[in-house]
Amino acid sequence: MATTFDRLILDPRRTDDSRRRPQSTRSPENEASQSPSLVLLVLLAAAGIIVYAAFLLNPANRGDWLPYALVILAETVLVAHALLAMWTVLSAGWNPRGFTFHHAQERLYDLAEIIRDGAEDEPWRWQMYLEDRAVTPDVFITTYGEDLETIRRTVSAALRIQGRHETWVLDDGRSDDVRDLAAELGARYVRRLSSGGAKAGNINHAMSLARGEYFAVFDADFVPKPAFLHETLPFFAGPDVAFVQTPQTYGNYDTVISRGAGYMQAVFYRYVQPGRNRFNAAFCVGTNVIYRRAAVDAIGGIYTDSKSEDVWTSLMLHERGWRTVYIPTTLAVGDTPETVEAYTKQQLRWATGGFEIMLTHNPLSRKRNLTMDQRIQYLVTATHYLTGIAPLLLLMVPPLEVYFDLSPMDLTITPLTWALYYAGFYVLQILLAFYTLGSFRWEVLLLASVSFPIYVRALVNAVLRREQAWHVTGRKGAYRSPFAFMQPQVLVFQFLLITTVVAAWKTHTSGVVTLALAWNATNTLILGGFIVTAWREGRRGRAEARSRQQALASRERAAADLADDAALLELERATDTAAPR
Amino acid sequence: MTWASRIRLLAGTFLVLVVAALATYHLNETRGRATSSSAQILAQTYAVGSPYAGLVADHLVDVGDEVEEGDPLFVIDSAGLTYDLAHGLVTDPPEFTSLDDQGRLVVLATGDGRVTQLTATRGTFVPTASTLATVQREDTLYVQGEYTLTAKEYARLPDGADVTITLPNESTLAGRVQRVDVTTVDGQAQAVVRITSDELVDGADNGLVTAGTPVVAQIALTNDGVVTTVAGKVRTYVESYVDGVLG
Repeated sequence: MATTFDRLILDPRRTDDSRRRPQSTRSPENEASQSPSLVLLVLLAAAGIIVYAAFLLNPANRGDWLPYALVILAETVLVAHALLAMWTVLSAGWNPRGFTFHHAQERLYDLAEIIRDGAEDEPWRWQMYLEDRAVTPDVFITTYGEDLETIRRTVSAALRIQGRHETWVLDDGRSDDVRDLAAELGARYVRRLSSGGAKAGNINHAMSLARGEYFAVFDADFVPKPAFLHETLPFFAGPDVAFVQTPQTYGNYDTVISRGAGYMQAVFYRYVQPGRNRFNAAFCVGTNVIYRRAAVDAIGGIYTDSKSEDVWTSLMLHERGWRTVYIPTTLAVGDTPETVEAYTKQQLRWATGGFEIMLTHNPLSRKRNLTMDQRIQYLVTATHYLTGIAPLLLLMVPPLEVYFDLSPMDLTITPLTWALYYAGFYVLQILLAFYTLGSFRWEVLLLASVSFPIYVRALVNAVLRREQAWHVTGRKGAYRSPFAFMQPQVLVFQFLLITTVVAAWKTHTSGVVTLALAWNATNTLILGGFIVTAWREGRRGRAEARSRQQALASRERAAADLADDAALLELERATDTAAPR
Repeated sequence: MTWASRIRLLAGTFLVLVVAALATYHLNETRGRATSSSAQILAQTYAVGSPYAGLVADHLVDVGDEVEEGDPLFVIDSAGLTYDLAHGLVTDPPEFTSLDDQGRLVVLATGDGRVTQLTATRGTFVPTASTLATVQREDTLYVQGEYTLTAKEYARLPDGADVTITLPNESTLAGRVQRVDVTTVDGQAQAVVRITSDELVDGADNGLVTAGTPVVAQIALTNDGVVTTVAGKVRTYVESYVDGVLG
């Protein structure tokens, strides 16, 4: 395969060449979302949703008002979001790279200069030119108490990104080890006095020190690929581009939680974000992104009043009329949450950010300077996590039927007909997910249906405008039980388990098998699956903590032994010298 | 986990148990009742007729009037009776009728009750074997309820089961099952139950207790089982505890 350098030699300035030749205008990563099979599936799923919605809303099928209201509320949110998401997916087959991009990309380096400097094999030294002006972007790596090894990996990779750039380690963890590491690797190190504004504050502080026209941001655990600047910087040849976002790709699909969380994001990065691009509403996700400094300055820096600074910053930029670009090319590989704790905190942060927009910054309001496309997409962003609360409402429906004989639907149709309507929505959605992810990822379904306490908490926090306080103690790095973060799930599981037993008893004594029993048992199994996952994680965590402790203890013991020996030796020498001959 | 979160988890578990126990108790109570899909108050009536055709010379009662056995209801001027009497074909007037001083037929009430319908008024010509009025017999009000029961529920419907009758104004009356007629449709027992009650007094509760009033009748089914036993024990224990504290 030809390297960038080879191409520079062999085929310079393809876009300057007046001879016409066929050129593929679609990059390979967009082809999946343009597949005719996907389009057909999306259309089928849309038809299924309509049929299902008509079935639910048919007054003839209405049951008792309480469970019916719960079902209609939950399904309205789910159905509306499914339709909007599918619309977005259908818009995903559009390549944001135009002539400007390709033209700028080919004039990014000066071949003569590279040869003069003798930097053929050191692409990180190549000076980059945009519109024939030399540019030296900054690369910010934000750290906050991450593992030293993780930071080392990221900083080393960041230093080796192709094209001359400045690498900065922005350490909010105030660790001397990180400082020494940065010095050792040759990156700049910044530590600020306050830690106001969290990550956004950290970046804003660094912006006051760095002078580059563009700056990229990476979380400490996202290892950038060398081509990052090569693939993103040319977009800035368009004068209205505020940032270029690349996907979060994960390398740690090891646990049920990380697979669930990771694949959930995979659909978003592969299909939804490219679609949002078309609406000019792709939002920044905080890492693997490169900003135009002038754009961020124009909105007064990265937005600091929210934990979801990335989405808010994007919204501010869009309101100012900036264009944003998302490319679905993997240019950095990182970690998705592996533990219940990390997953809970991540989802809580994201959901609170979304609800904040919904409650305080209605994107449909006339005051917002947004296009219709952007209004729709930001409405989706703002209300997206309501779909996470919907399972809670649906979980409550079978117990209502078991205990109080309140049924949501008054069905005169056969169970088979009912199942067909139901399949119109759920089975087709699962099929669609199967197609987009390439396989059935039950972990995603599991996590999606048990995360409702997180989203309820986020909604409450957003309404009351308060910060989440976790009732956990223990020093950093010590073992913390996942159950401390999932008490609501445990309690709901207990309730559903008891309800299933009661429903079985009711079925046994009445001789009538109800759908409520089947549903409730399924829900119990799903929550039980999550409990088992957490229990395994807890067991693994305890074992790791124990072995760490043992290693620490044995090291201490060895040190103590050594000290004892030394003291003994000292004593012997003393007695030797003191002893009268 | 810290002790604080352990305690909160424990408190939460306790709450879940209490909620589930209350809900199960409620379910068991519901399970012990069969609620009518349709029920109404009905009464026995008798139709007042005339053995002779003739002209109603006078009606002595109106709708709603209380009558006792032997009370005169109608005076009928009947040519047929006059003829029969004149020729000695009959000597005494038929059962529950008498003759007034002008030899006209007086139709008497055959039982205590209340007039609910009057078809013949003064001046009406009545043929033989026609109904002049309908009288609702006194103290014969009952409730007829229709129930859809599963086979197992039908098995738990005992003779003389207690019934709670709820009137449209939410006041309740106590009754008991008198007779059950059952047919089976689609594996479900369609039971028509006749319920009697001493508290069904005509005109009580602002006149709501009367024939034709829609009511809800809940039958107490035999409800043995774990939950009933446990609930009973808990109730006994709490009662004895409360007695112990108070007494």
